[in-house]
Amino acid sequence: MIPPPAAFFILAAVLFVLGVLAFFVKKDLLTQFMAVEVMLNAGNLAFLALAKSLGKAEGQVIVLFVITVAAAEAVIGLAIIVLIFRQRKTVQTDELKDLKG
Amino acid sequence: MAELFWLIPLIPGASALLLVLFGAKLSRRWVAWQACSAVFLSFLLSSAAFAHLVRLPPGAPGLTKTLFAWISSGPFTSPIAFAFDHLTAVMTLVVTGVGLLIHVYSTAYMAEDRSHARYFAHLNLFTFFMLVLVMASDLVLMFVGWEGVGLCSYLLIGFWFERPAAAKAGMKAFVVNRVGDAAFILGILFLLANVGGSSFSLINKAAGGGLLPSGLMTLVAILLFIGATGKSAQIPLYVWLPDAMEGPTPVSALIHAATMVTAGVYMVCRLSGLYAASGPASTVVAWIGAATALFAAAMALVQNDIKKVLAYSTISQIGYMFLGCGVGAYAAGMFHLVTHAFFKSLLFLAAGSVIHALAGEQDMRRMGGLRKHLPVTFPVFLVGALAISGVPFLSGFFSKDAILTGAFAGGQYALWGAGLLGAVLTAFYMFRLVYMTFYGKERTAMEPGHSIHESPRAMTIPLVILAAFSALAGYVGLPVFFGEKADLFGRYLASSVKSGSPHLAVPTEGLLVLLATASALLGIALAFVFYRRTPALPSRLASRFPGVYRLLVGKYYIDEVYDAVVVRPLVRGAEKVYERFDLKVIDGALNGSAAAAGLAGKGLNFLQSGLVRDYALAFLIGAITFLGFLLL
Amino acid sequence: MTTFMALAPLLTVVFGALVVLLLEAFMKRANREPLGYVAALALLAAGFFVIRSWNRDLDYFGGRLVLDRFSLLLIALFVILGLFVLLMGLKYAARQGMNLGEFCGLVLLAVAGLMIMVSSTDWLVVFLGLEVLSVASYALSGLKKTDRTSSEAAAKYFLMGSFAGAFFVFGLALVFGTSGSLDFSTLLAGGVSGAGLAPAGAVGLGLILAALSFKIAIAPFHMWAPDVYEGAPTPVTVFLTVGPKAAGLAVLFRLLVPLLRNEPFAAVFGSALSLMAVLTMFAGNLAALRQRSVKRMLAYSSIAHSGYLIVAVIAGDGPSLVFYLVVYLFMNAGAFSVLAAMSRKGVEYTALDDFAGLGRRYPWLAACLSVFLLSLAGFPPTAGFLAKFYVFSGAVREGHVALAVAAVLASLISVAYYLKVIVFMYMKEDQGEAAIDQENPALYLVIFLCLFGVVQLGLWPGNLLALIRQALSAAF
Repeated sequence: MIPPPAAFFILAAVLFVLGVLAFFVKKDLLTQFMAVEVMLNAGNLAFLALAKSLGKAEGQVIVLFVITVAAAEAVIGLAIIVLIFRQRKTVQTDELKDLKG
Repeated sequence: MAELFWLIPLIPGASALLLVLFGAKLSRRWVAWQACSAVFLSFLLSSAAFAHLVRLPPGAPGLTKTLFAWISSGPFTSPIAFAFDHLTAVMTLVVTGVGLLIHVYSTAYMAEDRSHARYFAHLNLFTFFMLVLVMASDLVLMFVGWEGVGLCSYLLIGFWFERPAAAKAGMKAFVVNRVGDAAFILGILFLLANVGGSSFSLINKAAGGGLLPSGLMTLVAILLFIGATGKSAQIPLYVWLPDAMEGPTPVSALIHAATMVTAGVYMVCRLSGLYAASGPASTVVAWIGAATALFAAAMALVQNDIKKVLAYSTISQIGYMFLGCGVGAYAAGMFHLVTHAFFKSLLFLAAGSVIHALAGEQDMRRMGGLRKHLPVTFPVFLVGALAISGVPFLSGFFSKDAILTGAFAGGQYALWGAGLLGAVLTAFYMFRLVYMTFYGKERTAMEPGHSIHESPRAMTIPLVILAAFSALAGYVGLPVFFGEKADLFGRYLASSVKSGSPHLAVPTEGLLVLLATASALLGIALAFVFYRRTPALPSRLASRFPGVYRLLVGKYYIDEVYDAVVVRPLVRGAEKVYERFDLKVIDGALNGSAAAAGLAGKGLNFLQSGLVRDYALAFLIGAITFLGFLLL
Repeated sequence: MTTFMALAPLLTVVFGALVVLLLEAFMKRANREPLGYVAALALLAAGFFVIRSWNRDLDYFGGRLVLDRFSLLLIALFVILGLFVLLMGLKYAARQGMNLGEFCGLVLLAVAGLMIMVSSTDWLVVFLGLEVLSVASYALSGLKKTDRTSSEAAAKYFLMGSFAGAFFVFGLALVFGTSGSLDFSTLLAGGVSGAGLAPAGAVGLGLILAALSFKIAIAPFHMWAPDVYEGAPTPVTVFLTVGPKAAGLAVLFRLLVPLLRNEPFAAVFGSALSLMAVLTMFAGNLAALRQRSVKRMLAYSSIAHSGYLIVAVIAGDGPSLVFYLVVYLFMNAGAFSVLAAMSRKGVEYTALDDFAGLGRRYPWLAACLSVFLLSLAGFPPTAGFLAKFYVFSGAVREGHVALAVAAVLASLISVAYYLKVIVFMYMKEDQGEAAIDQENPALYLVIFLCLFGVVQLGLWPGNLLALIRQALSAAF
């Protein structure tokens, strides 16, 4: 049996909160970025659930856009993380504190 | 030539621009000549425009020139336009005339200075902004000048920035002025939102015609007046002016005595329609003015720096002007503004000459006996001192009397009394200064080889001219018992400012004049008793052998009585107020708020930890709060 | 009119970016400045199309991309911004170890993102524009690849930006769920009809606004901004302080102004936004007070200016908002250009102490910077004064008196730190170290143009204001 769309939406909301929590709990750039990906995909899931319940295909199209955007973001993000690693030999977020005050 | 009057501000402006950009490459002679001739040209144009103005039939509007549309949009318009009416003419002549003399004086005073070109650039720039301020035909353009003179004042106070005190004083002046300016701009904004325009005629008309709610008028008038307390150094925003004496003395004379600090008085007179229509605001103006006049005069009693005495004196005299405006005697306020411009710039320049002669010494305790060494400076200084004290037949006597009479005629006896008391104090501190500086024993601590010498001609000639004006300028505004038409100045200004209270009967006015004269003489006599007749030596003897001394010279008992009854409470009281109120409360409040801002900044800098997670946390808190707002 | 021509400005810029990136890959010469000229040409062509499309109300993609006058005006602003940034970067790139080809290509792409953002009223398209802009900006901030702070700025921007982007997406989903559409107007119709928003829709809207506030750098969503602005290469900083802010505000304005005209929303949004505006103005100005780096100080100043701009949004005062943005472009780009001029090969002078005595050594540069700073401080008769004056008087006129008072007080504080730089330039002995390489004609052109803009708009703002009013009259 397929659960109702509302269940998917609740799952999406939970995922989003989990993503936010992970962003705060984790301490390196890579995992924090993964947390953001979780949040993004929570958004996608919410879109799908709502599209289903509203009966509008538009929502599914949007998801494709978001996935594309997320991919582009991942490319640039990973490049930056590599750059940071080359310079500092670490990707700990808390090490990034030259700029402050 | 009169129709070229709009060039009056632009000439010094152009000169300032040239000096800022190319000053470093020009010779000293050229810089001085250019700066002086720019102001001289403006002065000539002002005179021509003035001559044109007085020939106009009565009731005719002054000259106006709209250069171009500036803010011309939607609900209000504000062109860049200059106006030259009777009130403006007075200010313009003062600014360019006194300004010219001070420029000339500066060529000698600042001849040796390293940053000669920068000095004249700033002085020209100041003249430009000051002229914009007085010639603006609407409030927004006036604000341009208002801010501009503040900036120049700041630059010139901090002119000798190598001295930390000078840099600090400049900063203080600027910050305090900005506090006032914030209120000023708010006043403008309220006016714009309600009047729909910013030209003076429109504002005065709207206020006079009862088109504005009275609460709003009072609010606006008080906001603008707060701006004026900043610029004109009144309670509570006066604290910057004594410190501003760190600037070169000609600057103190031009900006912090004759012109910029009186801008607030000019503004109130310009908007006399608004102030006259708002009773509460006028009351505030009058009482702040009276309180400042008394308070600052008391402060002047206990200063030992010659320029600081004059600074507090300036604050006090401007208080008189506001007192005049507050009781509706706008013309009297302007009259005092003019005479004050002469005698106070004279006093400052003469003090500058003293300082120059003593190679930079400003402490009066290390002066004395200079009468013999400064044959030009001493008499002109004396003229200035007599004028400011209100001794009969000199300019200050007439103008101060006009204000006091105005207060009395308006039924404001308490204000009148305060003014009278202030007059005693004025004469007292002024002659304290004179006796300490020019009479008595020489107490200079000059290194050998440096002889005390009179200043060069470029400095003494302006002094003599100013002395002549200080003596004679009063005769344009004689009191009523010289005839109904004797008050030329008042009649001249009648078309520009609201007319004051009704005239008093001749005997009453005569009595008032006598009282004013008596108070001036009383002040001088007190000073004579305590700073001349009791020189330093006897008092030292007295303190060493009190019993013998008293027995031998019993006649000094009378002085002791005076001392105990009058002087000691006065001076001690002033000293206490100075220490507790001036230095601690007002200064402390300003320093405190600056420190609080710094502390808040420090806290914010601390929050900006550089850690991404902290930033994300702020984001999250913000988002949640925002959602709370939307949902609750 | 629905026509493919509506895409012309956008396509020109994107095409220009591709050409530049391709040329860059195959170019053998050491001097890469021609790439900058190609990029500038693309922007000029886009500008040409903007002028061509004026008053023609072109649209495409079923009305999802509209070139109304409001968006054209902002696109023109972005074209000028792009040109300034390119010109600033020409010499800067070689001196500070930045690849000019990548720089030009990315600037063009980022400008394309801005164009998309302002010319749409569809949430999805706005989101796409935002992401095009963001991705390009992340890369731009890290372009000085050997510089630790530049990379740090990029990493922080990226991490925070994608975090905020995720909020945007989730917010979109919620809005979509309540209104069944991503068109601004559908969402607003629900609100305007008085039915109010469903709580889920309100949450969605809140999340979207948070993400937009992030881009505009409004407190408390601003904390990334000082670090990124300071670390990014100076031309990029100019882009970041003006571009995303202007685009974000334009979107906010389109979205909020109809909402703010309706009572239940006006109260809620109005008070929330007012709070944020006050917070932003004070946080920016207070934090700027203690900075020892002029660049970071200007970064904080940029945050404070976001606050003033929000005041215009709250008052629903479109003309003042756009006028302020234009003026801000000139004065801010001007100030940063002088900062960029304070450099030579491998060195940038950004510390306050480096400015000591500048007035004597480089009087023209110091004079220009003074004008820009005075304008930023809102000193009459510069353009900055007028811009503030319009915004504040608009706020008073609309009855937001407390907000206007706060804004006046906040700008009172700001004078202290702007003036500090002038004090250092004219009133401090120079340390005799900062010797700058003056051969940088393109940069001086930018400084000159900015100076011209600040003075021109300060004294003769009439024409621009008339244009802005005309542009806004149709849309709002």
